[in-house]
Amino acid sequence: MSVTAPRFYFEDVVLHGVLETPAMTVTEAHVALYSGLTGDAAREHGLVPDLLPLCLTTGLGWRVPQPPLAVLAFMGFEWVVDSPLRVGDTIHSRSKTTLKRSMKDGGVIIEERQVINQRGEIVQHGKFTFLVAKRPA
Amino acid sequence: MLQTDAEFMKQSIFGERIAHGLLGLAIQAGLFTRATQAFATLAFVGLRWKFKGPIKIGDTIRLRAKVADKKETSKPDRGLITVERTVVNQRGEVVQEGETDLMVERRRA
Repeated sequence: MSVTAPRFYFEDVVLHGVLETPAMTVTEAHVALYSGLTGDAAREHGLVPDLLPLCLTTGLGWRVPQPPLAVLAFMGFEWVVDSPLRVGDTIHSRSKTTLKRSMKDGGVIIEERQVINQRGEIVQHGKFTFLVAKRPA
Repeated sequence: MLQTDAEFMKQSIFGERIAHGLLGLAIQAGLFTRATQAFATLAFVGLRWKFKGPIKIGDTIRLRAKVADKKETSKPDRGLITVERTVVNQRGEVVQEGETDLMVERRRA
């Protein structure tokens, strides 16, 4: 039987709470691995494929002191690319929960997320909708 | 755990490991480049996306894309194209779907 790590349940989510992740520099290696895996490439050499920063911030979200969100389902999201990212840029993300709706088995939360570069500019942003588990009785 | 712990997932509603939804999204982005003559895309503007069902390891996914809208912009050298996308697995089930907005170059006069 495995040891269960602490989880962040629907009741623990703070409405309007802001979370910032550590930063990561996006390198040629990230781009090569991503493009090799998916077949998705940037328009020109030196640019980062547009979906890669989105994917990286998901990983950065695991590196905050808060336990991971008890997601039952990642239902969907909207995303906007504000400006292109270049290889060598450094990104981190800032998230805020803007909606919590309790349901019978779990609750829905909407998280607004921004991807920010080393100059403090928002390069991508959007909203995620998650179905989150409630604390077990 | 959803993606990495096969033993844990045996007890879950999925019964086995599932791929991260964003992996499906990233793979369909690559498939799009192989689906059609290359668009003269200047920028990927954004998307609205839904995850309808799990993608399991070993599943085969394909993309169906349809140009749903074309809009001129204030700049004469580019227009906005909205592509509706449906990602289906080998059983014909829709696993992901959404709309992507692309800024595409216009033919020179």
